[in-house]
Amino acid sequence: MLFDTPIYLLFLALIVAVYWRLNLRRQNILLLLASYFFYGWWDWRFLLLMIGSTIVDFLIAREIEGASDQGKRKILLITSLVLNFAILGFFKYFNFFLDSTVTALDALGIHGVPRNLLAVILPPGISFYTFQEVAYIVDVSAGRIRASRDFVEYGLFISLFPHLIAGPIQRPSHLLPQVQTRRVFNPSTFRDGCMLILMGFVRKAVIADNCAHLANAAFSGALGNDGWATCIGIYAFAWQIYGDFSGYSDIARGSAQLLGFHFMVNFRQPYLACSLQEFWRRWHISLSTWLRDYLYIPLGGSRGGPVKTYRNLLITMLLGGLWHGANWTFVVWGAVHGCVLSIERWISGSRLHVAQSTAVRRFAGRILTFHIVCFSWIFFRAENVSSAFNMLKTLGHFQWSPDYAAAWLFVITLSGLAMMMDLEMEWSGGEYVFQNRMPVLRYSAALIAIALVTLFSASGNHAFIYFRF
Amino acid sequence: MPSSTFVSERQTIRVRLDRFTIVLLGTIVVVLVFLEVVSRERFDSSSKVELRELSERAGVLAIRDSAASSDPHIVLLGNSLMLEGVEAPLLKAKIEPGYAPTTYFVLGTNYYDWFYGLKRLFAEGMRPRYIVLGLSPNQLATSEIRGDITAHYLIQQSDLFDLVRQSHMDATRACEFALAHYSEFYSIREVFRGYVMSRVFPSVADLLQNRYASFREPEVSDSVFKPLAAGRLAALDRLCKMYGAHFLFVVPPTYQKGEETIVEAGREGGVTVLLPVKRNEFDQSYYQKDGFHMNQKGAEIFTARVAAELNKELP
Repeated sequence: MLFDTPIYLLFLALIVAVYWRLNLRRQNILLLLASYFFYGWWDWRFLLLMIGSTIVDFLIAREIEGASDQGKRKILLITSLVLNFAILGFFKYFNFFLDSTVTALDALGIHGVPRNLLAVILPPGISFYTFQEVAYIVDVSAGRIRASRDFVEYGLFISLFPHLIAGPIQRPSHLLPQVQTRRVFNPSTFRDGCMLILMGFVRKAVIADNCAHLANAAFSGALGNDGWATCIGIYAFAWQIYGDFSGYSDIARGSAQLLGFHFMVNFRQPYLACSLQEFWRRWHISLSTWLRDYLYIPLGGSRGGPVKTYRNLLITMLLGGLWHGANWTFVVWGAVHGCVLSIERWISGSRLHVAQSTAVRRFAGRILTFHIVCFSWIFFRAENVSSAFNMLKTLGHFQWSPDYAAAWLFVITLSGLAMMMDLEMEWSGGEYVFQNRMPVLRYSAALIAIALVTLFSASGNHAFIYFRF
Repeated sequence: MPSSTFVSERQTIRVRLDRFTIVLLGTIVVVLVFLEVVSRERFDSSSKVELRELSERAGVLAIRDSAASSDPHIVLLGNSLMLEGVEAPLLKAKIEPGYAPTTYFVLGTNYYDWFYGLKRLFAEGMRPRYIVLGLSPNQLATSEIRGDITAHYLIQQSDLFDLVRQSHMDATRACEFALAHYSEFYSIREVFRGYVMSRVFPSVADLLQNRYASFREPEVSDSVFKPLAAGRLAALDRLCKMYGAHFLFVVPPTYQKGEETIVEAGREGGVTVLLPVKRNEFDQSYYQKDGFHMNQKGAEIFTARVAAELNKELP
């Protein structure tokens, strides 16, 4: 069930209407069943996999908490981690490693190994719920949280439908207590939830899906094969992926708020970041903080000197890239980010670093950071690494075509709309446009959003990009 | 203002929407109702494409040929390939006297649109002597349908689930399709937005249309295509026979391979397949800028040959 479809809105409305009539226990049971229905809507077989994985971690966490022997706790922790990552690895990376192995064997002169040995289909949301399960097990093992004694509560923490398919990845310490305690209906939270859903639709259906037309045309070569077409494609994709994922996150957070839950903010105007470090504090925050807490810091973080810090940054970003999908393009994307983060770290520790920040320097930093991110999007979006390099080669020659004027006009209009929304939120500190302003302004924003979604939603079906991850 | 109060077994949760939320949700409902009403009242009369399609639809629905009736009708069905490729006045002039060719072309349609579309047209009373359907090889082979507009205009309610199953729609898409059957606004929303886009950003609308028109679908392999084509031609033939109509299939010229396979499949199944222009017979000068639809030069030749081939088939 996709968030931007009428069936999801109907499903959400029905759940909300029934939900607030029930007591806590029944609310949780209703939400758990609704979440399983929501997930099973794609394919009930994937639902069995998720439930199985949930049960295993629920039982292991209880065993870990009950074990007094440190050795046993460690074995249980490792068992859970191996199981979780083995399931994730099999479904997500089996085809990738098989394909890479066959390519390598071909290069060594060994031919005839079949590439389609086993067609493994990626279950929706497996990367997201696996990361939540891992966070839960690690936190229980470290004594940061108590293991849940109630399967309904734990199952709901893992599978609550607004975050189930593409996050935001919820921390056990944030979401589990909300599942365990009575939710209180708050009119302003409910209102903000409605507004978040509406603004999410603007970002997804108007900005992202329209940009997708141009990005697809540019990345397929249909728009042209020169630098102008590539630039249009890169900028269009930059705003497409931002609108797509932040729109999804807004709808997820809004849906959660209608049910009395609070999800962490996942995007905080990332294209206004002055450095790549700051970008990662603003982009897909639930993943970047997860990687920081469960990978970068356990690796040693910045505690072992500059070289180890650079190594840890690179490993974290490489694995972060690989988390997105089984393709070398994501590895290169992660490597680009890891390298630039390391360079930034090196500059900040060297004499080149200028402590005083001026408006001009911040502006230059924003432009530079945005373009580094755009550069990395080429690898993220391309079908394969060689296509990405072919696109980069086109930046060597620019040949104007009258078509490009229309394409630029469209990209600038859509990105201008997204940028205006971001600037307002940056200045006001709101989670959506005009959240902290007078009701009349907020209502005007809502009317404009309704008009935009009605008139300018893109044609065609555009699934959320992060549903693939 | 309390909107409602729900009482549960152990606790009372007072659900009080604030005024802003009530106004917001009310606005959304009003906008949706307004769009539905406007779509029903205005769309049919303000869209040129829709006007043509509805008038052609009314034309074919009025046909009531019987075995004894004079001037039997030949209903030509298809999509933009036939719309651009068939010059109706020329066809009328070239066809044997005593036959009345009538066209009903719906843009973007494929096999399933017309299989179920024909069922609905027959169910609503259309009774021509001849049915001529024109589709390219890929359009005959695909399981895709035009989209939500098909749900509203071409499919009857009793066929909804059958089409959902046949075209391998997922559950979400099936729900959208069902909604489009009942809601005029939902079924035409893409047409409506395309119109808005062409007014606000004409150059962008033109660019996107041209770029997408230039994408070429992959060819269907012959081993898969032949049994598929045979089955689909036979299904159309059976359907037409049930209502006393003689079915013919015509393949308009495109870049797509497979026209000979359709002819062969038709021959084996006893269905007449017309191939007025062979695949590589027309060079680019016979096509529009998109390289897919015939221009006037191509259309004149195609129409004349369709008429000539039809004349051979008519008693």
